[in-house]
Amino acid sequence: MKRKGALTVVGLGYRAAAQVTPEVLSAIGQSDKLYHLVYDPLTTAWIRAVHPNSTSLADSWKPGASVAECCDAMVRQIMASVRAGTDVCVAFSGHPTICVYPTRESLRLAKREGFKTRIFPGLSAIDCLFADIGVDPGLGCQIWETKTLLVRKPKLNPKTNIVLLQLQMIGRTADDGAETNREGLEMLRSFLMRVYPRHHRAAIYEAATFPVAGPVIQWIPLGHLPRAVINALSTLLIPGI
Amino acid sequence: MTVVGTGYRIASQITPESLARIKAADKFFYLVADVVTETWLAGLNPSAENLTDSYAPGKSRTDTYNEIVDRILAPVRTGLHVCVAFYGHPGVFAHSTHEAIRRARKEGVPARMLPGISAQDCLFADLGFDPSDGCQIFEATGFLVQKPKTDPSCALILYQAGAIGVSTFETSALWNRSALQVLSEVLSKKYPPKHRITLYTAPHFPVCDPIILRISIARLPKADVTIATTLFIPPSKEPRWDDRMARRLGMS
Amino acid sequence: MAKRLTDFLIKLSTDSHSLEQFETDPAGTMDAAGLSATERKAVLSRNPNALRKELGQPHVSHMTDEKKKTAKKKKKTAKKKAAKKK
Repeated sequence: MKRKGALTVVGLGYRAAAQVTPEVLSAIGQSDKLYHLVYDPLTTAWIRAVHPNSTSLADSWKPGASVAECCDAMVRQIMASVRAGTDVCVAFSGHPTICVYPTRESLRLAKREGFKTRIFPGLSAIDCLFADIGVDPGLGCQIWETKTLLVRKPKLNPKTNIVLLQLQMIGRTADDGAETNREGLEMLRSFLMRVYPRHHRAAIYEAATFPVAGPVIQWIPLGHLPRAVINALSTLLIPGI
Repeated sequence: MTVVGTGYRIASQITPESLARIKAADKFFYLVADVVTETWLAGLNPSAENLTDSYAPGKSRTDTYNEIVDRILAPVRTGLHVCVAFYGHPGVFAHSTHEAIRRARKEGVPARMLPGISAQDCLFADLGFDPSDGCQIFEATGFLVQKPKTDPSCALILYQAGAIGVSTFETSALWNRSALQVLSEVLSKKYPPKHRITLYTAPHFPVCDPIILRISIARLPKADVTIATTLFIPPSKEPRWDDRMARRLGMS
Repeated sequence: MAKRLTDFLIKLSTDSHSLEQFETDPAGTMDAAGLSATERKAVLSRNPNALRKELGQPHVSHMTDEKKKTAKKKKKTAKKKAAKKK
């Protein structure tokens, strides 16, 4: 028999309210408690309008704490509510299993402890990038979180498209609010220079989050990467050679 | 012109921004994989026109794609606001949508693609897989023909394994079983034959669960594969780990 | 937080008719929404960073909960309004 209490994990896409699918909207509506981790004030305002009992998980970002510690704090907060018998929904910007450790761990724990779990996909930054830049991943595509790429040093195939996520987080502890990250981008550049020529052009992409503003796409030669202006939404697309 | 995606599950994965474009269009085209979605879409806009009849058994898919692009662009040229809906994500494994947008823009018509929930998004969710850990994505035919370099310490996703080497359109559930033997042999060179892979089919209907089968590479030629099946091949080797870099990045 | 701008942008996000109206008559729709001069400038720039600045988020990061703070502010403004009525 399933225990009282349930966990549903959903993705919201990037444009506040405009990319929320009907199944996600109904999952939010059915829940007693909504936790969220989103990137913009518009989405936060929208969440408060559609759910009477919502709490941001971003308060778990403690200055100086490691990303793992912050994520564990989020998991503890989510699981405490589920164990208390609450029907919990957790909503993230984008897609709920891409670059989001807390969802995976919470779902694993909830399943193991016999709670009902559900997950509904959302539009990811990768989906928005494919649409806005006109890339078809069917022709070959590799996806990496940038930090993981630098540590694992895989054999990159430069003939395919490569999408690098979380550019800003290279060498960061937690979300410390700083804008660009020159030192991290310098490390990335030196790794990529083993495979690509300096002048190979890549796009720094930021999905559109507002109804009146389009996506931000900057094309730069890879050699100039450390000079690029990036933020927490920046993704790098390196087209195949 | 706007190209939108309807998502994978019938009616429940469309985004409000895409739905709004469908309803507001002067001329609406759609190309989806099932009758229920067709019925639902046809009811959203009186000008709805199904593109499915551009496909015919034995007809080359390149001819079909070109015909679809021409059909979409005809009303665009007369100044109408055209919306085209494809199932899943309209830019993933869809040559004609990217081509229609390129040509419309070339002719000076503003064209935009809005993303949709793809089979890949459903796979990430249902298998609980985070692609940011590293993942390589290929269309199965391209994987066999172009022989791209891949890294077995990183997950591999192969699409359209049921349609390998078939350039026409067929009505059967699996278009080419013999190619699965070839695929199995090629994969066996990179992975141990007993390596477990996942055959994933995203759910179309609200009452259905995804179909998730775990088999060994050696069993692939006999497995229950359809054109809607995606192969997920987990890493067979431990990934490298650069300790010095991990320390520099604060990851250890 | 900039309540009028937030409401305006959410309306454009959720109601396609409003977005169409905005595209044909930006000045009119912004007037109707009561946006300030700087808010109007940010909307017309169509620059996400300019919009974020107006919304009180100078850089992109995960949004923390400001409920307690806003709740306190609301109480204060409510009192002020009450005082004015008298």
